[in-house]
Amino acid sequence: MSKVEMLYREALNRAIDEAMSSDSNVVILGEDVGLYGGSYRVSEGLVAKYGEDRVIDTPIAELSIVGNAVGMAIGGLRPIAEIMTANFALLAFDQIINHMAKYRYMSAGKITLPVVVRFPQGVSRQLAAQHSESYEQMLSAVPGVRVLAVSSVNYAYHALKRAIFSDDPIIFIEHELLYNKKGIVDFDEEIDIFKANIVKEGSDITIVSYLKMVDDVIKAVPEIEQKLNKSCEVIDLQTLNPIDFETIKKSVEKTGRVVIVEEDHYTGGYGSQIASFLAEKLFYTLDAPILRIAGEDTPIPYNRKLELASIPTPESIANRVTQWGESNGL
Amino acid sequence: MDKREVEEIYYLMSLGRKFEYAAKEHYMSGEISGFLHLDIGQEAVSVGAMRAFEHGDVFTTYREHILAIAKGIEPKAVMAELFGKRSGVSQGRGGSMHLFEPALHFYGGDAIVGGHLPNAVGCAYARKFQKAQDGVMALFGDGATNGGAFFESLNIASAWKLPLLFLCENNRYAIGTEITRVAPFLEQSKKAEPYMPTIEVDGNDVIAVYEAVKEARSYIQKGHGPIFVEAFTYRWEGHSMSDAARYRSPEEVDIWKSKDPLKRVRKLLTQQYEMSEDEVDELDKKAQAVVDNAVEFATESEEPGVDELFDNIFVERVENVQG
Amino acid sequence: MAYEIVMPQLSDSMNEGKLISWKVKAGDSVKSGDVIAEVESDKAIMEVQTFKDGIVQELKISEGDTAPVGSVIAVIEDNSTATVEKAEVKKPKTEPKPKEIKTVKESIKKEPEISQDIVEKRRDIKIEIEGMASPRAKALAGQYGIDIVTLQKEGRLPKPTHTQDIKEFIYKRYFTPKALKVVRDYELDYDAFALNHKYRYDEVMRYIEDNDIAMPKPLSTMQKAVIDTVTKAQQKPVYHIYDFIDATLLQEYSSEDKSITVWLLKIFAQAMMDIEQFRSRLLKESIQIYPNASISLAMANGEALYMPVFRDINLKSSDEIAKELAYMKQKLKEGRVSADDLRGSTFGISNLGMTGIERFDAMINADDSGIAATGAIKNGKIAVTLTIDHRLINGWQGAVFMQRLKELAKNEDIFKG
Repeated sequence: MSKVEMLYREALNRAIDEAMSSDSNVVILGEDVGLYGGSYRVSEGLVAKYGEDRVIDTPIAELSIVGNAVGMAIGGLRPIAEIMTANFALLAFDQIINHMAKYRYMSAGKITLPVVVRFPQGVSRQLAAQHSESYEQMLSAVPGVRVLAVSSVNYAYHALKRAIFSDDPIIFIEHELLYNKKGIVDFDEEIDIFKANIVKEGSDITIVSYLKMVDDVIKAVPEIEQKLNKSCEVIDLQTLNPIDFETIKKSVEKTGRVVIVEEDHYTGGYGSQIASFLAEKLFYTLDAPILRIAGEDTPIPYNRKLELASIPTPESIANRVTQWGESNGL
Repeated sequence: MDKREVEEIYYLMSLGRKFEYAAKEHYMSGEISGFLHLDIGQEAVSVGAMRAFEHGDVFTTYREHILAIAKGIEPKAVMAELFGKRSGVSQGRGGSMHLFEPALHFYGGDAIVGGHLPNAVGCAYARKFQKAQDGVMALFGDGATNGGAFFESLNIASAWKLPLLFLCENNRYAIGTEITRVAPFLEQSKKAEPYMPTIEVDGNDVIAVYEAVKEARSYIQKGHGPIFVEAFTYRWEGHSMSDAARYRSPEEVDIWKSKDPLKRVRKLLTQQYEMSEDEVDELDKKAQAVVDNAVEFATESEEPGVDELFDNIFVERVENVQG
Repeated sequence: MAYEIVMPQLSDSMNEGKLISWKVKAGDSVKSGDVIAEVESDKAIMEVQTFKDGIVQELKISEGDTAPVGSVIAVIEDNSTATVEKAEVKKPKTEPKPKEIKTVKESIKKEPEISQDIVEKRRDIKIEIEGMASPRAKALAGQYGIDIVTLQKEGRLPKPTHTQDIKEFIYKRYFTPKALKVVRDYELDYDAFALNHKYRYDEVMRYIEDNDIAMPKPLSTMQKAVIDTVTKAQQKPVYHIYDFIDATLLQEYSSEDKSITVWLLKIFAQAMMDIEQFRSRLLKESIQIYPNASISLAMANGEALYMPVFRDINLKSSDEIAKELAYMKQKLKEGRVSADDLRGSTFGISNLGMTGIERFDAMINADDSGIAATGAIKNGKIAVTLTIDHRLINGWQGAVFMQRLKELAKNEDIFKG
């Protein structure tokens, strides 16, 4: 019982289900979360179990979904707001940034907002420019909200449950292509959701990544290791704000070489924050220039070939890391 | 209406006006900074609405000093906040625009025009969910009725029959733009008509405001869903202290000053409730003493320490590396 | 003409679908728009329609099955196109066959290859500076007073210089080539030495002896394989049977050319033919029983232990077996044993008789059902220990096998062939 294999979306569903059954103040709201079961089936079956008052179908009005969630939290509930994709979440950025992130601080801690805002992001399959973006870089630059980027099934379960019962507002970022990922949830495990996870240990190159790119990095690693005859350590950041610099530091002190892989755009991408930390704090431990592999600075195109050319893929990751390694003494 | 209640209303309006003038004075002398939005001329709406909605949750905007005081927050805690002091209601982190006191169900101080309306809707949802009695009131100006958040909130509150009282304080100007230049009509309650019942009221008549809000409150408390009250009034001062008021004529301001809501209550007290002018003056004096005391308190209070910079961002504190 | 219904792509993230139920069966006639099945995607249960009229010819998958997006799940004989085709009789045979249509569909599902040009063109800013080195390398060089700029000019350090290059330089500067070899063999760190002069071989050796440092020796591929095999063997549920077989005939018939091992192979092969469980192998859901007796035999060459397989021994004469045995020994010596030589057995023999050992037990090789450990001849008998995988062979069958071995060892007919 303690370890169960399930899908990413099932792990999320289970976390919400357990939270709702243990605390009647937990509610979920969003477009099609109720009767439809959630656009990625995350809230499947919950309306039948907990009723329409707790599994709330909202109009297509993202500003209100997050704004109402903030008000519900002020009123004593623990809302989980689901936004269909990060792209639509832009309509709710006023509520996320001006309200959710700031009420606690502006009120000198008198207002507590236990809100979770969940949404998937990133390039799926040919959804084109208005359905494929990533906005973790903007959101993790907002003091007052925590930002988690969920790659593994185990973390999906534990982090969502912890997030729901956290008294801080949390942005819970999922990825469209991960909902059907299989993985093992260890129910007995106690995890610190503000810690990065070392997915694979290694001694020569540290590869830092998050969300779906972790899976792509893992796919690229055998080729990199074989071509360079070196071993890679792969870190799944998991938490983007706060950043677990400690885990990165330990790894880089060992390897001296860092690659950062992210799906969002190169310019101003989240990886630049990691790169800045490395340059500022770990300069003398670096034995090669930092390599950032990120999405191109282009809106995401519809055509599959162009779409894949606009983001890192296992092949491009393997090629670029190998080239970089070869020209930097590996 | 009970004499004591009218007396209390007059006292609060007088306190409010004196408070605002004191704030203006100390803004000019530099003790208060940032944006300062004064409520002078609109005291009837602020005090009348608050007295009629004593127990419920109130969500309001950045022009909220009098609302906060009328809801029960100590004037000295409000003044200290304007001064940016640790003894302020938001410990100097919010300033004039951000006064909050959840213990008194006062979630004032939102400075994104219309941005607090979805929060009020959410809170009303929670109150309905909890089967609570009092309901929620959201105050906003005519300027907020042109934004998306307003229409989304009308729609959701009415679709879900939430106990929410929309109170529009129509002072005719969205900062410097007269409302009829950017909306098709003066009466913004017309926008709410397809969704819910509406009540229009003279916002310079505090008794009328009080009665209207009381009636609206009992409507939402009965579970009929939301209601919309629009009070017409006028702000004597600029939008904020940095307003040169080029958009309106001195004559127009004078006309509205002649409809001074405070004078109207004084007249009511002396004529209908048989108070002497001296007795009413005593109320003014009492109010002035409270304001003077508040200023003194604010002046003498300490500023927050720089070591408190990171306090109250999160409940669970986890540091990011810097420095 | 056949119209294929494929597993539809119902969402952007769907890779495969599960067939929940069929709404039609073979032989039913269907109209365009009719629902023919219900399919579960990652997002929901959705209906699958036909877009042509016709008769259902075949349902390719069953309810509950999962199929990849784009694979054919049903075939409908399409009336409408049949008439169209008749009208276009003139058309040559270039019309793609159904098979080709399938490959087209598969190629759609394949991810397109992306040109690496884009990747290579991006932001490649090359900077050449004097004394170019990584921060970590510079810090290390500074610590040991190494002048990167000069050494790069002299070609003694690469450009850019990395930590590893500085380390190499330090090693070469402070150790003679012979000493360095020992340092490498023992994986010593230069930090262990004061680095105030160039160390000679004997100095390094003294350090090793004084500090009692063990020499690390990585495992060879063969050692790793052996560890792997015996570890697996250890996990099998085994039991043992101990007995003796008569050695009179074995001794009588053995010669320079035909060792006792040849006859042992022959006896065991016959016993395996008599009791089929010894010719069996355990798979996940079934047991395979082979028609002939193939035996793996433990043979050593230095540290390497092999279990080469002698196939179909029951069909072979003692001469042939002896020849194969000699050939395998030769191969072993030359290190030419191939992976193929190690496959196909169902039972094994480990004979240590030649060493004088009386009795021992052996570990089952790879996927064999058991192994016999045979010792030296004593008092006219050879001790045989059977180690048997209980999942394949029960105790009774094991005992019968042992009984049979004893009979065969005394049966002169065996030694005639």
